[in-house]
Amino acid sequence: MKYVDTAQVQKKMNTRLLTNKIAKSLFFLSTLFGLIVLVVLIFRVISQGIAWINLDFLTGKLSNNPERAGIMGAILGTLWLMVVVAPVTMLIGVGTAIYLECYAKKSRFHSFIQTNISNLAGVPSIVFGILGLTVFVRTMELGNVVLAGGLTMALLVLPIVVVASQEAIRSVPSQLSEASYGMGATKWQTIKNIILPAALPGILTGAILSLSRAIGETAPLVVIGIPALLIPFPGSLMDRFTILPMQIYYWTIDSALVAEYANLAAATIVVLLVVLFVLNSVAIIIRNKFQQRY
Amino acid sequence: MNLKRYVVFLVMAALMVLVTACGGGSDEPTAAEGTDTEEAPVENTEADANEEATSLDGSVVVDGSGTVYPLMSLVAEEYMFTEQENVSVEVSRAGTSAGFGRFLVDNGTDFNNASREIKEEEQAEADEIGIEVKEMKVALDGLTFVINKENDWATELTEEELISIFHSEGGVTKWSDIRPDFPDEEIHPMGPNENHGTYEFFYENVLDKADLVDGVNLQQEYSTLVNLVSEDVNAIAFFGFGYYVNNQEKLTAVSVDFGNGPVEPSLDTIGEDAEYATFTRPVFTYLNVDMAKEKPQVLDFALYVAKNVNDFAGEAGFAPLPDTEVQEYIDFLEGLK
Amino acid sequence: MEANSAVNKGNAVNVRDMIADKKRSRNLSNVMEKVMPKVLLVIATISILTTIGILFTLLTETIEFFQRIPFVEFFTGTVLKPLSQNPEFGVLPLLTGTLISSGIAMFVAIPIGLMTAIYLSEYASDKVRRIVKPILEILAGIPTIVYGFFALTFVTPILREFIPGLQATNILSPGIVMGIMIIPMVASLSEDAMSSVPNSMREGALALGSTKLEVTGKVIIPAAMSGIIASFVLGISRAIGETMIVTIASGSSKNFTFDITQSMQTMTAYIVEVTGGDAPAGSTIYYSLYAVAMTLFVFTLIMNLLARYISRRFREEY
Repeated sequence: MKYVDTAQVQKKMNTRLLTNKIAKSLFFLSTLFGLIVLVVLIFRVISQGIAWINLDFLTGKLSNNPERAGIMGAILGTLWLMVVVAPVTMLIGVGTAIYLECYAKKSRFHSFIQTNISNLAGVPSIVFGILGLTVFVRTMELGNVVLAGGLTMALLVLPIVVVASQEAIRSVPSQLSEASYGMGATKWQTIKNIILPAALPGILTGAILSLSRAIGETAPLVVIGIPALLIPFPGSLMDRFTILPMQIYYWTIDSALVAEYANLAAATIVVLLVVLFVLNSVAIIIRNKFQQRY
Repeated sequence: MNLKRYVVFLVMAALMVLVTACGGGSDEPTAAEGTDTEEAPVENTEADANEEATSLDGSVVVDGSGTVYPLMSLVAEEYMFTEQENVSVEVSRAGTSAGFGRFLVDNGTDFNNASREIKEEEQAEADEIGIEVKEMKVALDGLTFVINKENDWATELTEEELISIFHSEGGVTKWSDIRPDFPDEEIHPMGPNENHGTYEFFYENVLDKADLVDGVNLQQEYSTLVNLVSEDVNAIAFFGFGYYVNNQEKLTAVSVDFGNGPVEPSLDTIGEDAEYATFTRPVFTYLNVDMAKEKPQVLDFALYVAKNVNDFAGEAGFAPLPDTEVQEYIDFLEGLK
Repeated sequence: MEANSAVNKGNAVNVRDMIADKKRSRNLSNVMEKVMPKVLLVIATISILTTIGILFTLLTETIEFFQRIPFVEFFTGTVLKPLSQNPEFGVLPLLTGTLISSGIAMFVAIPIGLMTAIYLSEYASDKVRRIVKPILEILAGIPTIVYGFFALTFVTPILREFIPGLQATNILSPGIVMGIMIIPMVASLSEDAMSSVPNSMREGALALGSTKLEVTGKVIIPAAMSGIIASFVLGISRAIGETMIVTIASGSSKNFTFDITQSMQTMTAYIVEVTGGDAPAGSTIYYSLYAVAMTLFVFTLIMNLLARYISRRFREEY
């Protein structure tokens, strides 16, 4: 009794192998596509903008005149935005993560918050902009200042910090906390002295990633309203400000009017990408250097 | 563990120092001014000459018309670079109507640029809240119709023909509907959307409040219009002369025949009594007088605008105002001091 | 430690002090013990407050809007003229603009993303995977404004070379660029789903003489189907919520059309246009902003919940 018709199998073998080969190349080409686009994009932006990047451009004030325009205001605005976003997201994000991981395990409240956070992560950023416009800019009458923009961005990136902190806390081995309890430490002491220090690299990585998301977002700030021309530098939380992506936005839409604006936009993109690259590198270094293997 | 904390602390500390350093730097703009002094020594000596004026600070918020924006942002920039370094003049361009929405509220904007006169209901709104509004003309603008560089047939049109393109009852959908020798192609009419005073001027003064043709492409951004017309041979759009002047290599302006032969819009023909008068309109900025009384920097900037705006008009594509009118504004503003 | 040193000194008073000290610190830590959970609870509710805040702001103004413009008229109207003297509020032009741009995006992202995932999960060596995955992450981390610039100044001019009649602002170019932006998301989520299929199933199929392609098509993809579909749905949700690319590259004409060479406006771009013009509070156009935002919010929420439901409900248990 023959279960397999060898002749049949042999006959089909070559076509099957060939199909597999063709498919493999197809999949490989698809993978290349993404990489090629990335290379084209970066090459294009750099070739368009690199000639415009010099010290004057980086430290100069904004101007209508492309020859004179600089982006120091936008760089400082970006830093000021971070000054608001970093502490607020760290406090709320880490606090929420500790509560979820250490205090509210397996309660209905826990799963409710968890669901809520993953839903928040999927809300379009422009909706956060409307929230910020309604709550911070109008109702609290802050106006379109650093504080209002920062709080809006903080809420936007909160889910990233919460999820990253939760993972970091979860990855702290239970032996450590058990040992701490065994020595007579209370719950809060254990969290403060054992769990948080051990989870810190993971938490920091999440915080930095959330910052890089916040300084690359444009939509919420467009909604909040950033002036098209803002020359002085921001000096406090209650000053109006502009950030790098907003500058890119205005220069891009005006590039039809003044051709050089396209180059300025490209140069600003290069600066923004460099900033993001540095931030992410720091995050990766922290992750690799301080990730203790237990 | 300790090492980790130490490193983290260092990173945080470094960040904080960086931020405070920058913050500190921004309190003393002179620190970052080195580049400007190298670039524009002339301007700075001028500024020194003006040092008798007191140094002001605070902010001046300007919003409104996108047509007036290029002019006002030039003026504002020059003011900040040469007159008052510590005053922050912020210029936005939401559009005339939207700008009035921000202007006519408590603690609203200080100036609202407008490419049309304030409406009765807007004035009523101001009276209701108790805002005293001063209308100041800043320049004269010619409503300009632009076509694609490749378009060689519609470079000269009569006023009626132009209106028929945009008028809902115009009965024109193809170029050949205007004149039989024009190509048999669909016209793509475009313009700024209803946020803009330019639209309202066109709607009220040119179309006499008739509906615009269906399918007219209305945009929020002037740059989008420039882009669309420069890429589309069958497009025709209208906007302020300034947006044409800075894009002459991409666009052709239609010469309009008002009955005495075709007139090309230019700084010479745009004016209250010049050949292009039919499509000439003043553009304004509206000042919140209460703010000007309250905040010295607002009054100072208003004076600066009144005294200097004619010098910038040409560069931004506007015709200057008559001197008598300018003097009137200066006198009014001096009286507020 | 301290107890020892105290005993060495042999001073009774010190011992008393120490006990008092201990008590004090015990009290302090007791207080901490009681207070901290409450503090953390308050912090944890901020995320809920955010959701409530979003729902509350959107709902109150949306309700006001529907008292002025009937619900049916809004969702069936094909004309959107919010600013004209006799305004009309039909949301269909925005809905078609949103769905068409997202459709184009998924048309690009689904095949390329899925094939990339198959390659990385089934064919690539460890070394290739280690190189490619971070690069895809970079692609995902590029701010959308950069893609917007790319769409307007690079992709549109190229497309206009090939497609006659393509407007200078059109929905095709931002759609394609959005697709490129979503590729990494689809690829990495699908790849996670495929990688989690146990190796024993792969090896079983291979042992029966299947080629890798057959294993992928007949075993891996069916087993990872729920995760793959979920990644598509999340991708669509992301495309619907994307703002800057369409705002920059598609202009603000509210055409009700299915012609992808034309300019259309998406819901997100409409929100940008109206807030950029900052409509005065109380006008119908101001309320329309919230109605459109609410529609957008509901759409993306349904998509996100659907994605979670699919990946839970149809997960293969091994």
